[in-house]
Order: sequence, then C-alpha cells, then structure tokens
Amino acid sequence: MYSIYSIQPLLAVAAPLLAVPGIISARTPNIREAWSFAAALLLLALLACMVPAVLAGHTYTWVLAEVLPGAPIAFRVDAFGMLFALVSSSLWVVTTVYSIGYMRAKNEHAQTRFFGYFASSIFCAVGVAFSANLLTMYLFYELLSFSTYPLVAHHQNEESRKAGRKYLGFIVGTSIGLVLPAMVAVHHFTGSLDFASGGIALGAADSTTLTVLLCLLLFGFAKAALMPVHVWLPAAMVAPTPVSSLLHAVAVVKVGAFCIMRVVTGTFGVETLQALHLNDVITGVAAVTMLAASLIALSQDGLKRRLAYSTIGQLSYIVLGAGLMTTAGLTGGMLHISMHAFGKITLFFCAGAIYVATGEKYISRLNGIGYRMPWTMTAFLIGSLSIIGIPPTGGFLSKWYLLNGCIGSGQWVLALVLLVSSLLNAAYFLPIVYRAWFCAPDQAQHSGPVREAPLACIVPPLITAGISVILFFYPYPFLNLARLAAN
Amino acid sequence: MHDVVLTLLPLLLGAFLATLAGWTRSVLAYPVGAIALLTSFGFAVKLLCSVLAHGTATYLLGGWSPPWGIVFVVDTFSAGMLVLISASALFTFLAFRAEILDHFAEKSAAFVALFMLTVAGHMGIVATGDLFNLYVLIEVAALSGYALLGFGTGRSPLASLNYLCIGSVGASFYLLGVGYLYMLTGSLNMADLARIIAASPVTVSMHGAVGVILLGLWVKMALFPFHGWLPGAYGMTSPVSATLMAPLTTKVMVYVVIRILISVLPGASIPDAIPAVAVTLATAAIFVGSVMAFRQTDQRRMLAYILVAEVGYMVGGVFIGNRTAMTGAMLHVFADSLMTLTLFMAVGSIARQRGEMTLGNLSGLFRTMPFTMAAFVLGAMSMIGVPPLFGFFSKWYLLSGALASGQYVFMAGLLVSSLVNVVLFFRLFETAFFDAPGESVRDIEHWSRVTPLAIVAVLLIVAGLSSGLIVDRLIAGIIPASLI
Repeated sequence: MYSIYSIQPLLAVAAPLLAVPGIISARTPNIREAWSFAAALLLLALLACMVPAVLAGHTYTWVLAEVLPGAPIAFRVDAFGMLFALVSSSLWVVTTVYSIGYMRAKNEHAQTRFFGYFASSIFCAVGVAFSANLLTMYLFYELLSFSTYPLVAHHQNEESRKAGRKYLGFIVGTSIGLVLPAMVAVHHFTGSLDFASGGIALGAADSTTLTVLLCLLLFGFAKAALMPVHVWLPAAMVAPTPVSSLLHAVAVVKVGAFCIMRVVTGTFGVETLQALHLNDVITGVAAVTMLAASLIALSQDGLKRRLAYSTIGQLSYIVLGAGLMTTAGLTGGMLHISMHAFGKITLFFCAGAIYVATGEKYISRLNGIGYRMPWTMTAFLIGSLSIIGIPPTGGFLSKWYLLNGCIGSGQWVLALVLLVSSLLNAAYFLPIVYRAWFCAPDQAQHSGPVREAPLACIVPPLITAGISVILFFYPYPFLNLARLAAN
Repeated sequence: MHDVVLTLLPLLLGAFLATLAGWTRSVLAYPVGAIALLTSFGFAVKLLCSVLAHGTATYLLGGWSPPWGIVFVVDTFSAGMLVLISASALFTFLAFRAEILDHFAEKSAAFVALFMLTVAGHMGIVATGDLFNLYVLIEVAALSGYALLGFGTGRSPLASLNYLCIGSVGASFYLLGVGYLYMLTGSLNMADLARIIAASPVTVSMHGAVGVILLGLWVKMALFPFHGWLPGAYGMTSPVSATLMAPLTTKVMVYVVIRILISVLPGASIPDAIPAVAVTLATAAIFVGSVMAFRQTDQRRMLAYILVAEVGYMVGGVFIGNRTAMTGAMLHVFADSLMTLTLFMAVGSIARQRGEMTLGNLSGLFRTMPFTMAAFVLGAMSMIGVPPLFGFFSKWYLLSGALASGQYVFMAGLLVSSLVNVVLFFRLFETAFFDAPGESVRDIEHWSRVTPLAIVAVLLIVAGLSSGLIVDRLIAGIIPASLI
C-alpha cells in the first residue's frame, strides 16, 4: 500500500468545471448539453484510470497550496472517496439525459444557468470526495452550498425563493456557525486536519469538549439532514426534478453523510470515540432521525415530499453505519451511499416523469396511473424494493451489512430499529405502487392507452432501476471499495 | 536614489504637476496622476523584492542619523503594505477615470492632486520610523482625505466636516500621547524609544501616554464607539473617494497600532486594562457593525457598517495577545483592504449605472453587468469567509487565536458577523439575480472599468491560496518572539 503523488485527483475534480464555460458560451442547446456529456465522460475516464490502483489499496495524493500550518488544500483519492465519486459521476451522465428530456418537455426557463450550476455542483461533490483534510472538504462543502442555491430557487417565484432562503439559512448557517468553530478547535487540539493523521488522541481534550465537538460536526454538516437540521430538504423539493434527483437524493445530501463518515473515521478516530462511548451519540441521533422521518413520510401526500422524508431516513442509515464502528457496519454505511443512490434516483426520475406526462404531484391522485405509464411504474416498483431492502435489489445488501454490524456488536435495539424502519419504508412506498396498479383510475387522463413521458425521461429510470437489480448480483466494484475503506 | 524615497516622490511630484496642469492645461492632470501612481507602484514592488531578499531597508532623510534625524524603515510587513496601498490607489484611479474627468469637470486637476497627496500620506505613515513624523503624515493623509470625501453630492460636505472634527480630535490625542512619551524619554525615533522604554521602569505617566496614543488611533480608525463619522463619510461621497479611502484609512491606522505595539512597546509596558478594554470594544464593534449593516437600505452605507465590524476583527486580533491572533490581524489588514476595494469598486460601477443603491434599484444586475457582479460575488464571499478566498484565512487565524486565549465572546462575534454577512449579501443577490431588470435600464459594462475590477477580484483567490506564503514571508518574521 503506497501513496502515488499525481495531479490526477486535481484533474478529476476540475473536469466538471471545464464544462461550465462551454455551457455558458454554447450557441445551441444541443451543443450546450454536449459539453455536459463530454465533461461527465472525461470525469468517468479519469476515475476509471485510478480505480485499479485504488482497488489495490493505493492512494493518489496532490497538494494544491500550503495555506494553513498542518492544513493544506490537498487531495487524496482513497477507496471511500472513489466510491462516492464513482456514484456521483456515473449518475451525472444518466441525469443529464433525464434533464434534457425533463427541461425541454416542461419548457423550463434559464436552462443554460441550470446546466451551468449543475456542472459546478458536481465539481464540488467530487472535490469533497477527494479532499485529504477537513479544510479542503469544508471548502468544497461551502462551494457546493452556493452552487446549489440558484438551482433550488430556479423557478424564481415567491415559494422557491423562500425555499432558497431556508436552504441557505440551514446549510450555510450550520456550516459557518457549527463546523467552522469545530474545525478551528480540532486544529487547535491536534495541529492537523488531515484525515490520515490518526484522529484526536485521547488525552488531547477532555470528554465534554469532544462530545461538544462531535455534536457540532454531526449537526454542522446539515446536508446529511439529521433531525432537527433536516428542514431544508423537504423545502428544497420545489426545485426542478433533476435537481431533486441527483443533488437532493445523491450528490448534495450524501456529501453531508460522507463528511460525517470522514469526520468520524478520520478526524476523531474510531478508537477515541469508542473509548468515550460517543458512538452511542451518533447511533442515537441516527436512529431517532430514521424512525421519525419514516413516520412523517407516511403522512405526506406530495410525492416528492414523501421521497424527501424517505431520503432523510435513509441518510441516517449511512450515519448509523458510521456510528456502529465495526467493519461490517462501516461497510454497510458506505455501501448504502451507492445502493440508496441508484434506488432513490430511480424514484425521483419516476416522480418527474409522472409530472412531465400528467402534471400530477400528489399521491392521492395517482390511482391507476400504472395503466397509462407502465414502464415508469415498473421502475418505481424496483426503486421502492431497493429502498425497502428486498432482494433481488442492491438495497438489500447494504442493509444486510448494517444489520450484521448491529448484531455483531450486540446492538439489538439498533437492529430492531433497522427492521422497523424497513417496515415503515414498505408502508409508505407500497401503497403508491398499489394505487398505481390495482386502483381504478379516477382521473380521466390516467386511463386509456399507454402514454409515457418523453423517451429521455423514461430510459434513465429504467437504467438506474436495472442497475439496482444488477448490483444485487454483482456489487463488486462498490462492495470492494467499501470493504477496503472500512478496513 | 533610495527605493523608499522613490515610492513616495513620484506621488508628491505628481500632486505638484497636476496642480500646475490645472492652471494651464487641465487635460494633462489625469495622465500625470496615472504615471505617478504607476511609478510609485513599480518602486513599491521593487522595494518589496529587495526587502524580501536583503532584509529591512532604512533611509535617513537628509542624511541625519537617528535618533535626531527622521528615518524611514521598511520591513517586510510595511513593504507589503506599500505595495497594497499603491496598487489599490492605482486600480481605483484607472477604474474611475470617467468619474474623475467628468464628475468634477473644472476641479479634476485639484482632485488628482489631492488623490496623490492622500496616497503619499498613507504610504508615508507605513514607511516612517519616527512617531512625530507619523503624526505629520497622518495629517497629510487626513487633510487631503477630508477634501476628497467632500467631493460628492448632497450631504457629503457635511459628513466630511463631521469626519474632520472627529478625526482632528483623534489626531490631537495621538499627538498628546507622543508629547508625553517625548517628555519621558526624550526621543521620537521608534527603535530608540523601544530601547529606552525597555530599560526604564514602568510608570503611571508611561501608561497614560500609551493610553492616550491608542485612544487617538482608535478614534482615527473608527473603532466602536468612535465610528460615527465613517458611514456618513464613505456612504455619501463620490464613489471614487470612497473606493480610495475605504480600503486604506482604517487599515493603515490598524497598521500604526500594530507597528507601535511590536516596534515601540514590545515589552510589558502596556497596562493590563488596555487589552481587555480593546477586545471588549472590538467585540462590541463587530456586533454593532453587523446589526447596523443589517438595518441599512442603502447598500453603500451597508458596506460602510460592515467596515465598522471589520475594524473590530482587526483590533480584537491585535489585542488578544497571542501570536496566532496577531498574525490574523496582520493578515486581515491585507485581506480586508483587498476585499473592501473589490466591493467598493464594484458598487461604484453599479452606482454609476443605477444611481441610488437601494435594494429595489438593483434588480437584474447579474444579467446586465455579469462581470461586475461576478467580482462583487467574490468580494462578498471573501467578506463572509468562504475558502479559498483571502478573507477566510485571516478569519481562521483570528478564530484560532481567540480560541487559544479563551476569548469565546469575540469568537462568537466573528461567527455571527459572518452569518449576518451571508444574509446581507444574499438579500442583494436574490434581487440582482432573480428579478428582471426594469424597462428603462440601460446598463453599460466597459472593459476599462471591468479589467481592473477583475484583476482585484482574482487577486482575492490568488492571495487566499498564497496566504501560507504571505504569513511566512511577510508577517511571521515581524512579530516579536516574546509574543507566543
């Protein structure tokens, strides 16, 4: 296992940013979208070059600038970062196809702005994935908040502006108010912010201070939407569906969970947290959020809002995995980043496709829609199964590892919480499927011949649903990366 | 001739020539000014290089050796300041050519001359090694500054008069304190004073002298509660004067305080009460500045109140009393100058197109003036403290230093002010980004204004990424080893 000093991480991070000038200056919409594809494929190619070495246990590093003592702006590609970058970038390709279908079908305004900020958001997400220390991660985390803001408030009406303010208020408020002082304190105690420095030594600070620091960082990374800092996520659903699907189900929210995972394993160190029993704080917060979010999801009639609360619950699985601090638990948590990503993005794609084809946003009005949109609803079914964790879908595997982690460390209560949460997931997803296929259409437009959304809105969810199934049988790239990272 | 003199001489000469041109051919005044600033900037850069290579540069005025003669002493920190001041003045002068020429049509030569004198005064303050000479240069900078700030519409002469009254009180306190010091020690030369003070017993009169000097400087730098003159003076004057003065005056006064603390009083001759009072005032300045900024409808006055808060940042850093916080304050002098310059330049350009700077008047700016707004965003992000912009790193050192000394309220002040800045700037961005520009709007973005602005804005990123280098090369060597 050795470290390769190479500029490749920087190139990979910068690849999505290359698309931005092209997107802005493109003459026609087709050329503009070609830039997004070109950047996404370039990014994938650069990642693919690094995968073999990373799978062999090596890391790539690159230092951009020595800015603060013990905290340079530096990149490191390890297994965990690679896993997250692969998920985000491969789904970026699919989402771009979907965005084209969705944005053109809805005849959305300001599409250039939309695609531009979309590319820069991916840039920030990959930056977070490849950050070598807390400072670099904070840098990209902040930039991501600001690049997503115009996407959240895309519709520019009073409702979406309010959502934008709420989004910024929660995300930036917590990152400056909580993460920044915590980061200064960590630097004060350890003199370093690097994730590979072995964490805070036990004697460096007393246990009260460490507890406070942990809480500051848990809730400070509000993109992970732990309760009570989850409020922004349902509000952000006013954004166009491609934003909700890639950013608010995958890239942005998982950046939050990713940061928490990194902080737990890299900044504090598993030994320190276990010695002070602080892992119970993490699992406790995660368990409460998991159950509460699922219960709230049951009562939501807005399809995207129900999906949003489901996301809040599912993100806590990842945080739970971090809190378990066993190999199986960490593997499960990291694996859940990819498994949930493919499942949840499918569901959002379907919600958007329904909206594009019929204009419906509420679950109570979806009776019998399966007759009209069979392909969409099939994808929806598979996505739901993956989130619930029923084989043969990828979601089963990550939950399996998480359950193993709970039982392995004797955390029976947490195992029970996981099972109850899965039941709740079924309780809020399966009725939608039931309505779609087994209730008679009470809206005239849902009956009759098959009339799906445009092809570009149908193919992406089918692809991601297909991948969710394939991942059950062949999870190895993600599973190996997660195992490697957990060890 | 010596580089130190060569940074100042072109400006004095330029002021003289511009006045002459005003009597004969006033079109020549602007080019004369531009050449003077450019030359001065060039020598400042040369001086910085030579100081970095060979160490502190000393120049004896008229060949008289200290402590009797006047000396100019330029170390790495002051050389950096000289580059900063001359560059900031040069960029302002180039970007606001249109205003200087047609705003003050028949007075443009006088305006250019005053501009040169103000810059020369500020650069002299930074370069001098003599406390009385410092007073003279403070007055040179201030008197020409009052006149510059009086150029403007509406109430700006009154605001400038207000500034003149308060500023004179501050300068008088400073002079009084220097007088006491002279009575006690018989010297005015900084290095000489430091030697004598270190060797002499600590007395009440010494404490009194130091206290009065600091009080005078606090008034001059608009530290709360002496900040009353600043919003009026910067908020009402012409954008040129505001853009020239806002990045310089308060920061140069903070520089003077830092210089006196580290070069004249490095020992324990400061009474214990002063740091405590200073940090308290600084914290209050941050909170009051932020709250007042939030309440403004005019965006220029809002920026002026942000400056009041920023003064609090620096004074707090200086008086917290550890190395990290001092580093933060010194770095923030650079960072705050640069981001204030960016914001005021951008606002100046916008004000020329839109007139009133109320929120409702700023709709659609991102569409009509994209480059100006991009620069404005960078300046704002730096004020908020987003990495990798310059403002983040100085804030980091300040936070870190405050934590090390247990100054939690000051820390909270820094964080609250960052959060208030988010609200202030995004309130503006929301209108400028999402609202459509009005029917009658005909905004023009000319390259001659955008280029200097773009350079300054990009410098915020470059300086941020090189902040490690800046601390290492310009700042770390200056802070006395006794400060831990």
